[in-house]
Amino acid sequence: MKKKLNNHKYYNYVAFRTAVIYIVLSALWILFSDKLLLTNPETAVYISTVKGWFYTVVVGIFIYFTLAREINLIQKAEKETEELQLLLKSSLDSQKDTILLSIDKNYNYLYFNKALLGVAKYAYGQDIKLGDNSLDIMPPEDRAAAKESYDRSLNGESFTTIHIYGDKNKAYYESFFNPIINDRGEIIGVTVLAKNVTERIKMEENNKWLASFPLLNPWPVIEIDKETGLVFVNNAAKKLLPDLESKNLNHPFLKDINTYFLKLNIKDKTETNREIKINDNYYFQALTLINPQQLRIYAIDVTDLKKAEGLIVSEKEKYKSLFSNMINGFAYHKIITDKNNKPIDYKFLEVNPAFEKLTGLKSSDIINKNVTNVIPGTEDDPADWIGKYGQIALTGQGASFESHSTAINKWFNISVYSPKKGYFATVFEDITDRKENEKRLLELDKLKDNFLSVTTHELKTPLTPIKSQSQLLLNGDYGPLNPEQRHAVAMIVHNEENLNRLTNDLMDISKIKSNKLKLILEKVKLNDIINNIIKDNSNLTKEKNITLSFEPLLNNLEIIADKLRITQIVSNLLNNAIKFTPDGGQIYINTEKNDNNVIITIKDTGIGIGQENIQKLFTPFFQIQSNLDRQYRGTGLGLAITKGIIEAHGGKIWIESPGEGQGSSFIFTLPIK
Amino acid sequence: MPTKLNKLKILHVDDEDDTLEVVKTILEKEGFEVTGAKRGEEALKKIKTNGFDLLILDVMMPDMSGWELFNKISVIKPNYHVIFLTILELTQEKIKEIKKAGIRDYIRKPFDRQDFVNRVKKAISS
Repeated sequence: MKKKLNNHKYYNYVAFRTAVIYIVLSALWILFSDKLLLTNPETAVYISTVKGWFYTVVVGIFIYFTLAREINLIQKAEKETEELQLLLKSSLDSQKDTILLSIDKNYNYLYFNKALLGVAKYAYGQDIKLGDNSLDIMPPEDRAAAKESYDRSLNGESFTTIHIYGDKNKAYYESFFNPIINDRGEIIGVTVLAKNVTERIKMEENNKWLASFPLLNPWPVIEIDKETGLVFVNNAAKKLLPDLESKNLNHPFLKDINTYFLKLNIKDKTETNREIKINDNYYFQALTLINPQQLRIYAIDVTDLKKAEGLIVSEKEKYKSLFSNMINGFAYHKIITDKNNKPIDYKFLEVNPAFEKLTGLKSSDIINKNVTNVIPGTEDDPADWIGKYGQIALTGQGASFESHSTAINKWFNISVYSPKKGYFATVFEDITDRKENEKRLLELDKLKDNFLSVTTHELKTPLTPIKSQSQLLLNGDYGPLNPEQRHAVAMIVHNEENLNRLTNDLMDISKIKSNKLKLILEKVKLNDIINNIIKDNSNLTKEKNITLSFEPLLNNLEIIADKLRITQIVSNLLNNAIKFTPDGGQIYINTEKNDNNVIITIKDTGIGIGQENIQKLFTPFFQIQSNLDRQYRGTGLGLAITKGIIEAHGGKIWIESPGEGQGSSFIFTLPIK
Repeated sequence: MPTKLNKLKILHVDDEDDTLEVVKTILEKEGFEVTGAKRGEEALKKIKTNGFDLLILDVMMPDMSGWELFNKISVIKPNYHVIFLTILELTQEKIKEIKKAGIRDYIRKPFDRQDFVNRVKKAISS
């Protein structure tokens, strides 16, 4: 401010001095003009008058004021320039993206704004100051380009160029180089105005890439005009649709495409779900309205996708239809527990039509409802369904059981499993028919037993008088019989005995088959039983001249068994052995004991048994088809009954035979206790 | 052997005429006096009016079973000597049960004459 005041005074003084010099010179001219003969005398006289002096002074004052005003104006302009300079400087400094710098002919900085400070620091790691060499701070690779541009401008050229600085962090600068020319027209330096255009350049590059996109797109891109048809067809489209250009808008790929101009104009300018089928391929098209006249179509082949989808859909459909059509009821539930994780209820999540049919419950009435709502009282059912199902849902251990619903009088076989924790599924089938059949079978079985016992009774009833009368006749109670009469009555007795045995066998086999054979267990001396049987058959063995040997148990061992039944089986086996052993043959009865069993073997030198028949012999009514004499035939029940009785005792029976004609051994075991 | 004057009396109850006849024939040959009855009611009437030394009862009969008859007889006169003569095969439990009830024997039809006679004699004298 002080300097400004001084200036002000100085300028006033200059104006004042100029005015005084004028007045002095004017006075001198007035005084001496006639002497100098510079003017005519009249004029000199006039000037030298008071009037002349007066005008000279007025002109002087006028000069002073005029000058002073001019000086003030200059002063004001100077001040404004100074402020403008400040403003300009701060404005230049505030530019972050615009660098302003000036250099002299030696490339030293004359001026730079703050932006350069920052860039130098950022790009080169340098702190710069006025007077520094602008090239020295740059790395060699940038220096050459900068020097070239400076030199061009130092040669008088004004131009704009783009410089790239930095390596990793590339920065693009659009720089305006302008020479600084002094009053004498000499070039004394260069001013550079550089603008950071990195963002712009990058965007342009991006745009370039984007611009190439439709052409290079591996999938078809087509642009059409509403009126003229195809405008642009990329390579992929040409390859895929060779006939596109000839058919133009009539090509199936562009079917009804014109309708989209209106549609997209009203809507949101883009349609992404257009699907077109060409031959066996499916294409999804995305349509974009470029302008009201032009439309761009992007397409992608989704054939594989469609096929996969189709497969998935068909798999899903398959399961859905299986689920809907299976005759087993299916229901999916979520278990509901209380705070202590104890199951207290469950909710129906999904049921199939069979479930509805079997239970009479409608899906719409029960889905998302609790069972205690749907079937009140379930929580108190002694069967504890909620607890049972809850256990499965929480532990994941499935179960299967049969259950009767009294509500609908049906039997169900229910399988329960847990596909995930807290959930369970039930699959159940109606087994009412099976259960009824079982019941019917039980009734039939009862009926059969009843039938058998009645039949046996009725069969045996006539046997009593037949047997008794025959015995009376044979005994001569009704008078003596001649030999023919005696033979006839003996035959009656013999056949009555056969019939009685057959009836007994039928009863036995029916009991064995229905597991109803009851044993009367007592202490039995096996040796005694066998000896008695041998005695009973002594006539037969004598008749056939069969040698019978018996190896009894040591210490006359007692076993726990049904005496009559053991007698029955040993008799049966011995009878068979005698029956199938030719005259003069041998039969051995051997007994032995191991830890828990006695083992009885009845071995003969009879006709033997082929391997193929050994197992079949124990089948009821089985008889070997052979040339056996009528006399060998029995009911075919004996061995089946024998096996049944032995097994009822907890023993086993088997046959050993080297083959036909080589004899056979029937071996059985009986537990001692 | 009892004399003709004081023959031992046997009542045989069976719904089969032929069985009644052969039993009568066999036992009369042994010197017993045998009365036959075809129905339970008939048997009860005869027991009320006559005394018998042995009762031989069939088990399966149309109007009442041998069991029922035995129970009714026991009401009229306990301690009768009784034999069951039946086609039925009785289980071990059933045999125990009838023996406990006082029935002397259980004989299955058709029977062997000699075995039958022996067991009747044993039952009547025990």
